[in-house]
Amino acid sequence: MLNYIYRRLVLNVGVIYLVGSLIFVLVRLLPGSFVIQRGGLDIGGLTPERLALANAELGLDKPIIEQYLTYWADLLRLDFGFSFETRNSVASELIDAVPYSMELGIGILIIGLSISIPVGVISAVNQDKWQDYLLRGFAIIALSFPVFWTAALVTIFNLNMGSPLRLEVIAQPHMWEDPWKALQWYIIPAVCGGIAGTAAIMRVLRSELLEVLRQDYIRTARSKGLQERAILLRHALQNAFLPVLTLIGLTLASLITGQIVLESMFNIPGIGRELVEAVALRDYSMVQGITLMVASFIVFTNLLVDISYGYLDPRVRFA
Amino acid sequence: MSQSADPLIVDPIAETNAVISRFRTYGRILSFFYRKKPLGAIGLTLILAVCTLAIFAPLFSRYDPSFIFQTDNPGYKTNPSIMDLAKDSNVGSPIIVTQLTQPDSEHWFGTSRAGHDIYARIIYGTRTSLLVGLIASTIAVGLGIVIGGATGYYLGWLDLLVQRLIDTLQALPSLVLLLLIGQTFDASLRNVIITMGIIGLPITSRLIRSAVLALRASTFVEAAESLGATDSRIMFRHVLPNIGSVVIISFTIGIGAYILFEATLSFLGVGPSGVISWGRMVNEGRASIDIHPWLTVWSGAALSLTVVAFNLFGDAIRDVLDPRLRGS
Repeated sequence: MLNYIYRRLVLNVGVIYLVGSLIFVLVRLLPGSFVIQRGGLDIGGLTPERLALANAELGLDKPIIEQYLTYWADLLRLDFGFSFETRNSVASELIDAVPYSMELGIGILIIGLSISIPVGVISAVNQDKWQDYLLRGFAIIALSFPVFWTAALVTIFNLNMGSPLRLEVIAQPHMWEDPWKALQWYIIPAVCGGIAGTAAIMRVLRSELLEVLRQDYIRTARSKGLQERAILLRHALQNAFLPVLTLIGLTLASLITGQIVLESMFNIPGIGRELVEAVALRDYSMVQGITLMVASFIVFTNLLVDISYGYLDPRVRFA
Repeated sequence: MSQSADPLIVDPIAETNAVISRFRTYGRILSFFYRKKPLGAIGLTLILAVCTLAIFAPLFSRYDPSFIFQTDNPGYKTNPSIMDLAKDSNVGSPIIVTQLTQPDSEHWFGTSRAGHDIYARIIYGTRTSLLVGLIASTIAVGLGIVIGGATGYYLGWLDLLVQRLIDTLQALPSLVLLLLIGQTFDASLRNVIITMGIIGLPITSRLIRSAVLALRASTFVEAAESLGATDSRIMFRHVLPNIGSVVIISFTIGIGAYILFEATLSFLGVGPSGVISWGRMVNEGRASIDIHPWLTVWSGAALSLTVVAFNLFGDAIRDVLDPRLRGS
């Protein structure tokens, strides 16, 4: 077990090194640069001298190999550099943006799980009855409807029906600052994102449950007179949960990845929106910092999910 | 089906019978599918309808999708005063763009801000979506067969290396990759489709790799090996024909996902340029959603219906082909 974790950790470090190098090359392949993107707007225009000066200030005048080595040397000291645009350190920019993404992400996860788990269970227990067909139809629709469209429809509805939700566009309150306002702000994206994001969970949970409910030990449990409820909760659900866990892991990863679509639709200054802006501005260190953070989060969440398999299911052995 | 005695002499009657019986078999499969999987059948019917619309778009669209409609200006004045111009800057022109009209018999879904007929644009949008879905899914599955097949068959250092590269690809947020590639090269339809296919590669290659791994351990492959079959023979005669169902499932399920993916990109403004895209139309409609929600509503509905159709069909196909799910 420990051996397995060590090996995976080493592999993960390798993957993150590759991601870091790839993104370093990719951002530099983009046409234009931060100075050109920005400088054209300045009064006085972009003279060659000013271009050289600005590039020197950002460290972009050095040979690419030297930039690459400094980049990794800084990263090893956990220094992500500073944002070209705001001149703050990338780390502090991320610390500002992550809470917004997390609030939205946690809302999505809570709403999503509290819909998808009951739906999956009810639909499996009532296999091929009308409840099953209804809920499966719902799951397919949830999987297929684009989240930006459902969110737009809810917005239209909200506008025309004079609902009590007053969308606050200017203030961007955190949950702990002004819970009521923040709730109003997050509720539409969280519900739309929750339904869309966890459609896969309901489907997988249903088919896993069906598989488990056919097993011999369920028949044994029934024959010894256990209540259906206890069978479902203690025997079936626990065993059907493993593949669901993988999916929850992926959803968790999107907590920090940020929901780019929802963030840009509802004016939430989270990671997703920062990323789009940074790419548009050619803000190399922001793009690199965000990508590396997201990639490490994804890689280590996957590792955690795999490790938790071993605890939840004693049959899983790590080779 | 009758067999001719000498395999070198082709019996024309037997050949014709074979063709007919093959068609009968297809017909039987299709009618079986329609009876057993009503939801999948609905999906298939919708897909065929969308394909018809895409192929014969000029017949159905009523208007040219890029034609800008114009009408007489009701408030036209020959010599407008400054005050008039301040109220309505178009007051001096006798003809104005027919923008943001409500749905009527002339423009079934209304017109957009730019004066396009929304209905015509939605009909032409089927072409983009189908093209994207089919080609991106083909690319992802095709690359997946090559990479998943090779790594699952040979294993060893090749597998270790390629799997790490695939991990890398998967750990990169897909939107980062698309943003970067879309802006590095021009965001033409071709480039976006290729990028999306590559982004889907981790999923398809993993699925195919594990299917090949399972086959590699099966007794009939072992038997073929012990008879001294070459690697390529085992690969092409024994392994590949048996991963057909995985390939078909990931291909059909992929189509809907890529259509949705393209729409999301176009919605965010980083999709393919120069084509009519439902995702972009949903976004364009948001600017005037309070007075004219039709562009957003109809283009989103067309998009959703198409994706639902492919998902219903893909689900039914998976039920039929995946023995693990049979009867569930």
